[in-house]
Amino acid sequence: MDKRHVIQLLSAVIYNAHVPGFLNGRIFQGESKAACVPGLNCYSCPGAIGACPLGAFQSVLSGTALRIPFYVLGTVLLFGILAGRFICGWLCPFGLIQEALYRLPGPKLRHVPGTGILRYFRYGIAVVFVLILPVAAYLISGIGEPAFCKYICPAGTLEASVPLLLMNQSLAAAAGWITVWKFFVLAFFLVLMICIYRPFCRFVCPLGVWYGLWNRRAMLGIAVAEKRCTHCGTCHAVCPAEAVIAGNAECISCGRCVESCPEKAIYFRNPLCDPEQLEVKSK
Amino acid sequence: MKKWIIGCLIAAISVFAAGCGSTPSAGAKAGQPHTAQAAPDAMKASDLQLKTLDGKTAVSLKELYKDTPVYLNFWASWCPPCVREMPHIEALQKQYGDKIRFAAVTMDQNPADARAFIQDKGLTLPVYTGNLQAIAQLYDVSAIPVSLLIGTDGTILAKHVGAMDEAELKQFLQPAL
Amino acid sequence: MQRKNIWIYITAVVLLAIGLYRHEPAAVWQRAATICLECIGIG
Repeated sequence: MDKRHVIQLLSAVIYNAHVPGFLNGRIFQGESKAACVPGLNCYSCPGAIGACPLGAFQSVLSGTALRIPFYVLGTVLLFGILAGRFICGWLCPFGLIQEALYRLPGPKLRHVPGTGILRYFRYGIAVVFVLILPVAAYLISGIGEPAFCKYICPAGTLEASVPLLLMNQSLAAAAGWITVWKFFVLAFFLVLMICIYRPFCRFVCPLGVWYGLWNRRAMLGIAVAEKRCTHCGTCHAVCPAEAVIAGNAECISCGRCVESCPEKAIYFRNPLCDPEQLEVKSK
Repeated sequence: MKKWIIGCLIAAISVFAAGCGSTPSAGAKAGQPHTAQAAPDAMKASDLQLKTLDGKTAVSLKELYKDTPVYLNFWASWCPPCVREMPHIEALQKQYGDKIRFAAVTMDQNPADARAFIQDKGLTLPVYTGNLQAIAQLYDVSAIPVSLLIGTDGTILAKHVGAMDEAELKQFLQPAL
Repeated sequence: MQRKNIWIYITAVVLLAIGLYRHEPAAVWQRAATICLECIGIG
């Protein structure tokens, strides 16, 4: 297991450290739930000790009032500028789950047809389900809804629905058609995750959309030394997520491309080290 | 290759079926109102010290169910399903308010939010607040909304987690009518 | 820390400060500490 997987596992364990929750079906109510974790981790997961940034954003944005979620926005902006999609690659439990599923034997679609267009699908999902629908629901019915959580998020279904419905009889009794839909969406993703590397991250996740915006500026993560890059496309060829170039908005900083670059132009940003010095060192 | 496709399909169907399996009322919801889950045998409502939203009057739950069965709704102003249910509860209070006492307990950390909501919507449903931790523990309120039907002897006649529409609420109130 | 990002850090801190002033962490806590029925497909 490499360093990245160890850190992914550690973060998954830390985000879900409320072990008693998995035994009694009760979610954690401690004060740490006021803080968002950087990755996607449903706050209704019985083990979760923090809030999901995406869930928190949607439910504060629109409920019985429309509000700009300043605190959540400030949090995710800080996460974004500090680490960008390094969070996706190193600090997201749902990313870890996808990578584990991809390791299962089965047909692998190394190149996803239509990736060029599909990668923009997640921008549409983000805008529609995280911004437009919650606000529209409020404007139309006076009551908002966390539309991404409600209709799509497979992380919520897997991490919260499954354990809660199994352990809590009164919740299971209240389940209905939307539960069926969510399980269908989860089943679809689980199968896809065996065949495609991180399909949720690449084509759906709105949090990844946000973090991707800051990827090139973030303090942590993969970067390309422009002066040395010849745009040969080698990093794209080896990238499991088919990012067009290392360090762009698709890149989750898994690091697989670092060794492959013929010009040694790819490196992990180190906040303690000046990138200019890094260039001189590796020449 | 074919084996794996079949394997994946089986896995997908199993997860899908698990979702369907955990929804015993999925079929029922399509046509009929959802029946309330029967409460555990002989479960008595623990007494609760409540107070009105302005903090001026104290009330104990026992006083509420002393003479008439009580419909109690745990909700919060920031909870969309709770808020969606409120007009239905208000309508049923108009219909059955002489036979059942309707009351709501807000889980809002700031009772002023609940009061603002009630005033804004012009609701007549009495709303109380109290020690939220005690309420959550005593009544196993980990998700909201929760509806409780309490008999005059303090027995919990029915409990339901999740929002209900008017038809479902009517069905829920049956044990007390 | 790249100097061009300083304004982004400042913006983040300002947003956080506004949020703290408006007691938004408490709002996040309320939603995170109660099972989100909509999130688990019950709504």
